[in-house]
Amino acid sequence: MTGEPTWTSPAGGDTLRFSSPSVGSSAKQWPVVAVFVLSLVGVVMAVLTSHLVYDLPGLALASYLVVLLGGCALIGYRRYEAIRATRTGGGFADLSVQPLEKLAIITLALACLAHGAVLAYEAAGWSVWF
Amino acid sequence: MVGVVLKWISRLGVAFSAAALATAGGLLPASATQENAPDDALATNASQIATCLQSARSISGLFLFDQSGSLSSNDPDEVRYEGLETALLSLSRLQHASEATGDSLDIEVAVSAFDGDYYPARDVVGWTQLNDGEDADRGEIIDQIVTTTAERTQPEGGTNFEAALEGAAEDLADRGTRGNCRVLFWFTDGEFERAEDSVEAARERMCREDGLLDEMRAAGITIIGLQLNMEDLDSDDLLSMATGSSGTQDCGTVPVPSDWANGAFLHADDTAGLRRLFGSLGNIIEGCTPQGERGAEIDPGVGRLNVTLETLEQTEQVELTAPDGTVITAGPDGTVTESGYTAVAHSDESYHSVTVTLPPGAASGTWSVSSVPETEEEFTDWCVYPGVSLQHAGGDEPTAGQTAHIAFDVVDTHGGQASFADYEDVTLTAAAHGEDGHPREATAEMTDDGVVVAVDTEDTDARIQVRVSAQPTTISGLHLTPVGAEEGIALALSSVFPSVRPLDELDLGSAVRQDPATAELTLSGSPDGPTEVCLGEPETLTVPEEVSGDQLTVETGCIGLDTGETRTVEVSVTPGAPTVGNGEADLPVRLSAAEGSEAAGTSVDVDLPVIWRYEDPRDVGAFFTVLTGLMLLSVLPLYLILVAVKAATAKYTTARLQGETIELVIGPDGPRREPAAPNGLLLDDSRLVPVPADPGGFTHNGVRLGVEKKLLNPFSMPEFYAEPAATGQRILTSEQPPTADGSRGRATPGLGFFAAVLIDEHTLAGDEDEIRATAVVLVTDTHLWSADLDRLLRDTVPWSTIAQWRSQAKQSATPAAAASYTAGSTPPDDAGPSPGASLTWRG
Repeated sequence: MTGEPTWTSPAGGDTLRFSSPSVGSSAKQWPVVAVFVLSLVGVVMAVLTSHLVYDLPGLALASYLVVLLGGCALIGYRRYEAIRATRTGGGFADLSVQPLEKLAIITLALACLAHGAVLAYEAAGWSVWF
Repeated sequence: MVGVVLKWISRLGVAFSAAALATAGGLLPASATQENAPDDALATNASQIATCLQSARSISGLFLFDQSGSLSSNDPDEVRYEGLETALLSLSRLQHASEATGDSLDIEVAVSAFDGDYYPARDVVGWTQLNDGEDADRGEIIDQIVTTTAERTQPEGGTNFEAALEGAAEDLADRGTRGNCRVLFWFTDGEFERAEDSVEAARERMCREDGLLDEMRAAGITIIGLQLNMEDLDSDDLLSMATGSSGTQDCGTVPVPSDWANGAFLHADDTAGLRRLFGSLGNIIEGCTPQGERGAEIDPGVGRLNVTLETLEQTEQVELTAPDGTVITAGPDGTVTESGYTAVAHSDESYHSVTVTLPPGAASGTWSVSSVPETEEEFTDWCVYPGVSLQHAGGDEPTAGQTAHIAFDVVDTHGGQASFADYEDVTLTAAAHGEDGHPREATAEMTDDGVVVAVDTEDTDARIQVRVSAQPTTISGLHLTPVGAEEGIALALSSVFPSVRPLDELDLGSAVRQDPATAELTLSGSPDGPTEVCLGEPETLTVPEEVSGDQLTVETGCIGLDTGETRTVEVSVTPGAPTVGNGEADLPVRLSAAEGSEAAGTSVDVDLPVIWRYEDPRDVGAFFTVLTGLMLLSVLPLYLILVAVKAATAKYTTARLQGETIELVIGPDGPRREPAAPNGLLLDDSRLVPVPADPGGFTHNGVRLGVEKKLLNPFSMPEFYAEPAATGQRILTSEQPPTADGSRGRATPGLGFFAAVLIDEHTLAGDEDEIRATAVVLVTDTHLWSADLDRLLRDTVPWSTIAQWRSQAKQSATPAAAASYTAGSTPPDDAGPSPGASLTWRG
């Protein structure tokens, strides 16, 4: 879906939309897929940085921030696109978070948690807590 | 099968190399197979640390780990870390041996590393007390140490022994307090091949008289060398540095003076041997004397024994049968008690070790051992402990200037009174010195209850230091590790002097984290006249590096005491930072004789040892609380950002928003404009006018558009809705489905095309065929023409809902009249599958 969203059909002309395409099929899908990929890469990075967190604590933190901020930016873009898509087609009353998007959020949360475990294990050993 | 054969071949190789070294050097090639070593070689070489432990209040064990690149190939499975865990478990159990005597032993460990450089303990694993808290907590602490060590000692670089030992000596320097035993466990798989200038020059610097090795031994630091992969080495550096000589190469003063710390050396040529090597460390530092050819024949006088089985696979259990017929079945790990015998077992796939504490009066004789699966007898090692220790008996204060008789009780492993009667011979040695550092004549003799040391003291000896040692020999001639004790003894001076108590040692107790440790000195005046006690500035303060700025807090200066007066002085120390280790200082005390007495004008100087313990207990519960909290914190930003994203996107599109408000008449033929437009259309784009609106929600001509953001649920979208701004109206919108009561209709955030129809409640119940309504249309889609707009208005609004509402309203007003609204006809404009196509008006 590109360009200005419209109630007229994608082919143009006089044909109007009267069906009710869902946001899930109208809004861009690739940000959700990208969140999946980013999350999986994030989990791998968390495992790798768990051995390097002492020598390179910045690497584990940077990896966490990339996963967190990148994932949130993609989900934010997806939400923006979903709302933008309601300017096209008809009957977007079912504006909701699609199951795939929910799964992407859960995967992103797990990737953040994996990084969190790595960083927290290092930080929990600091004497400042005891 | 091939693997098993190779394991046996490898094991025999280890045994052979051990025997060869023993023969060549007469030293301690304490490999995993000690049956080929001289009978008492282990005891001789490890006796110093074992004896030290008997009167110690703490032990500091530094694990110096090689992390050179060769470990990637020599120990690819990282067995060394499993070995470290085994060794730490053994060390953590040391406390149990001294618990019976009522003394506690603080066990602290640290891990440092080396390759071409040295990595101090603070960068690997800092000093950590092992025996804090419950057994479960100890397991957690050990897991933490092992995990951290594995993370921070990944192989790279070369092998520089000089950097390693200099660094280790520095790490152990602040642990050299009175009553602390220091042990360096030095693990390497390589040889000395890198130095600042040349290996030969570095070796000469380390091994010359008064060199680094001599300094460490003289300071009482026991070095236990742990060598992996000895067959590939060209030199015996670790062997000579640990023990003084390898037979072909000496290092430091040889033989090692008897009052210096000696060392031990163990090696393994494979990872299975490495496991056993680490597993045997507990036995070594506790002074377990190998039985050698005596095997399972246990002499009288043995209070504790250890049997280690070398295995090819993990054994399920070991069954020991005592001479009195008691059968003890020990599992792979843990403690079991049977008829007074207490057995502690630990094992892995290459060994199974069981240490048995015998009950008082246990019969001597031959033990038997069997395992499941079975192990050959020739690969079973036995070693024994005396099972007694010496403990100062207390009693009246000896008088200065006379022969002081200081009694030491013989105590068994259960804390009960024991004796040396079971031994063939006991060699006693005693030594004492005064505050001036000069020795005093001391002799020891055995009594029925234990040992009495007689010391010739001088008139001004307010305090003497006494050391006694007893080496038992069993009836079969086995020389057990000496048992010993060292005590500071306060003496009673002439009555003309004031007294200070305690004067043997002032123990401030534990300074936990940053809480102070405090104790009191009691000063008592002479009955012969006014006296004076002067306290000087504390000297020779020794504390861990982390709290190097700590000072004893005590009111220094002279305190006058009237005849018979008693006063107290508080002494304390407050840690500058939480740490682990011992602290000690000498507090100079001057006791001046009573005025008017014949000794007036004279004084006695004493350096009072002040000791304390720094503790920084690892609160495992706090660790996991922090761990869990921080992990949850890592997800919190994601949640907050998702909330922020929802808040930012929960808005209407209001750019280029246009609209028109139309008065409608809705009848059986559907909606029509009132008054009708010339072109017959309900909606005409030429009539659209810009609508000012707030993206967050706005009201336009009686229709309020709002947003329920639902911010807290990350899995939901905001809900966009339209509702009448005034009461007494129902609303019907172009978004499906309509609500049953017409109080609210759905909306879309994009507002590409949106229509809301407002109907007065009272008109629904009327009898007219047609009812009036107001349609508010909002449009942001600039591609729509008049005809499109007209069709969208007709077809997206579910007009048939009005019929349902009217029917409900009629039923509410006059239930009988409802029948006239049941059947209907379709509206004229039915193009497309529109919601209005099913409009049912009347029959």
